[in-house]
Amino acid sequence: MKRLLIVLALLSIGITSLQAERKIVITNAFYGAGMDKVAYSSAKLAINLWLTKMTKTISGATSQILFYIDFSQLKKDTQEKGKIDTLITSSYAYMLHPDFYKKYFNKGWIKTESDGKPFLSYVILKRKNTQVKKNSIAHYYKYSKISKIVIQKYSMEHNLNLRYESTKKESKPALDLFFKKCDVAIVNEFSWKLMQELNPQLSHSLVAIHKTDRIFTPVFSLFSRKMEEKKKKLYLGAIKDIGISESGKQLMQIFKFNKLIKLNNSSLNKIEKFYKNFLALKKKYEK
Amino acid sequence: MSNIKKQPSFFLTKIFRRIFLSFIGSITILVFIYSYATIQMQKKSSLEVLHSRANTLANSMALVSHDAMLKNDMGFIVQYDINVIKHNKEILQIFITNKTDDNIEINRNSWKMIQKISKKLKDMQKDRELFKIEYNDKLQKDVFHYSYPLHFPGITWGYIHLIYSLDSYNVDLNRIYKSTGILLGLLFLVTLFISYIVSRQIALPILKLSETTENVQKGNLHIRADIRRGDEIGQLAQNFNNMINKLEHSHDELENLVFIRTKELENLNKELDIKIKNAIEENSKNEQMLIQQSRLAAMGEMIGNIAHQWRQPLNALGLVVQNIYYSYEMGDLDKEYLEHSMNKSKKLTSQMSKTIDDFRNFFRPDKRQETFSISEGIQSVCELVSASYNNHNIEITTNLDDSLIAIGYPNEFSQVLLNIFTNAKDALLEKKIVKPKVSVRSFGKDDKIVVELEDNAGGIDKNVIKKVFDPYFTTKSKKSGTGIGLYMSKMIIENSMKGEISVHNSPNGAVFRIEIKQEDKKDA
Repeated sequence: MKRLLIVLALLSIGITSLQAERKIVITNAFYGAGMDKVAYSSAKLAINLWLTKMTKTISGATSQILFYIDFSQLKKDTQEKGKIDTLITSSYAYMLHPDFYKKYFNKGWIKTESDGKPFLSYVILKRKNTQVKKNSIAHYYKYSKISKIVIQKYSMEHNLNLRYESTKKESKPALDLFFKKCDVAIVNEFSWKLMQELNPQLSHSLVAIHKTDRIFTPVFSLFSRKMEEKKKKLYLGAIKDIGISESGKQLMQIFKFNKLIKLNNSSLNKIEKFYKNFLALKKKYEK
Repeated sequence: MSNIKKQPSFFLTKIFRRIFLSFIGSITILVFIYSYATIQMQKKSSLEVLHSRANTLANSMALVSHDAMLKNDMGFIVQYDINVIKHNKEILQIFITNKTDDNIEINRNSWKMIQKISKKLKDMQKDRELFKIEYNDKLQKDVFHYSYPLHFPGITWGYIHLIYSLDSYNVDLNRIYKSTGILLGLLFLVTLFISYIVSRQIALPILKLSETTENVQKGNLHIRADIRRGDEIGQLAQNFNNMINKLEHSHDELENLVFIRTKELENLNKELDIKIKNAIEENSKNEQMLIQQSRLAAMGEMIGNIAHQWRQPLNALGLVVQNIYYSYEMGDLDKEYLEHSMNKSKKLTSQMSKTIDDFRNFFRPDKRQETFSISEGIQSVCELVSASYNNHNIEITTNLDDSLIAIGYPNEFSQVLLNIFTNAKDALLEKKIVKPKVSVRSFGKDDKIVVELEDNAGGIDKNVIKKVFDPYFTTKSKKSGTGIGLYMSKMIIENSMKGEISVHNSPNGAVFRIEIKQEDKKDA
């Protein structure tokens, strides 16, 4: 997550550096919806640190990043003309306020996963030869709101009334399940694949009981509908050249992504739909 | 003074080689020992670095995983250790072993649960941290194995085993070996150079001194050692040169002295020569006198013998004359009686005349060699001494081979026989032998004539017998003997007649043996 934020932030800086003579200022916004204080602070720290390093090499151009944890402030600043050019956020944040994003933002960019495609899915696991009973313990990654929503949705759909415990590491839920610390675990599909490769014993012990659609992403970027065309062009140019320039290659190597591709709002509709279903279930379940 | 020329093959001299090789050998050995020790220390140090790093990491892992271990949160331990191995490229494996057999093996690209741990892991699980370099069967190479016990209050939870790659250790070692090798090489070259310089410094003056001593030994005292140094070797050279100076001076003095002494000796020699000449002349004269005396003594002896021989015929002659008178007185004197008496008288006077002739012939020196009969020579001498021998009742027996003919000087041969006869008579009379006897025999042996004269006087004393033919040796008093007789007999037989004369003792007495060459009977 942090890495992606840094990547996108650097992109912004990269863009401005290319057009140093024009003194263009691109305002980027980061919205850390659902992040706790620690995660939010570390994200800010990481982005600022890279910004400091990168802006030294830029002449005649500036870039800035605005950090938002409060949606109302983001909304307010978005509504002001030209204040925010790009928004970096998560699919969780999107599903909370889809209308806002649709209204003020359009298109954007998303990274591809290890298989070269965008988005990812989540897998719910159990131990083989066991049954997921009511009130079983489910472990999820603390900093993935999506994974909690998915496991909650599954619990409600199957009337399991699972008890939820979070872990601080992304792959820990699966390990806890393997070591019998919980009954159910949720991990993203790529983490699960990686864990299976690391230890085939997991495949022998654990089995996937549910897999979501591939609709989720931890972070993506959107352009403001009010963003100037020339700024867009700069941004697009930087994205295009990221694989060419030395600094771009370094970014890709450090943060392990193959490429960035276009993101349309329509790509996010499934997230919106998913969340709506979740809310409906929740409502039903709470009755 | 002259300087010494440099030796052409200095490097081949023993002393240079010895010093050079000793230097270079000692320094090389020291350097090797030092290098070996340094390498061992470096290895130990590198190992200590590995140990230290492993210890630090293990401590950190224990600290971070402390709660998880207590709660048996293996998922956390796995997650954390995967992270550790990911961020520590030199770690090849991590093992977390547990009393409850929830053992974890974490490799660089995988991890797994293991029920049974290997013997190598078990052997490293002690109450304290351990480390060693061992061969890893799975990785098929040597690794650094570090084990760390996880002690929590009241319990030993398990162990952390860290398996480190030795690549960096080996790289360090290789670097050390390389740098040590280069250093050794450089040191060797430097040592070579320094050894050469030092060896030359020490050997060259010694060689110069050696060459100088060699020249001095050959007699060249003008040479000096050209060594100018401020140290003890320079002092030695200076002392040596001073010594040669003194030697040269002494040599000159000695030569001078020798010259003087030689002159003196030469003069002395001249004087001695004169003295010796005079002494020889005198000795010769004395010898001649002695010979003359001996001859005279022999002549005297002969005269004595003649006297003895004449006594009887003279007595007989007197009786004949007396009988003629008595016959006249008695009127019995007739012509027949007178003729008888005349014949007898003639015989007697003839006998006496022959005696004189024998005497004259005996001492007439032979002028030339001639052949003569040995037996006739012996018999004539026996006749000469018979009167004297009869007077002393000394019996003479002969056993002669009449065929033996010799070539030489018959008179001189007779003189030898006479001398032996005389000595035998003297010995028999001195020892007062009851029945004195002298036996003479002659016989041929191969191409030699042997004449032996044996008396029964008891023999010559063994302390004396070897000296009897020495000149001037005599057992008699000065008045009785000159000691020349047998010496002269030896000279006659050996020099004049090329024969041999010897003496030995028989059970009876002394035996004088003469051997001379026999004349070939065909030529005789």
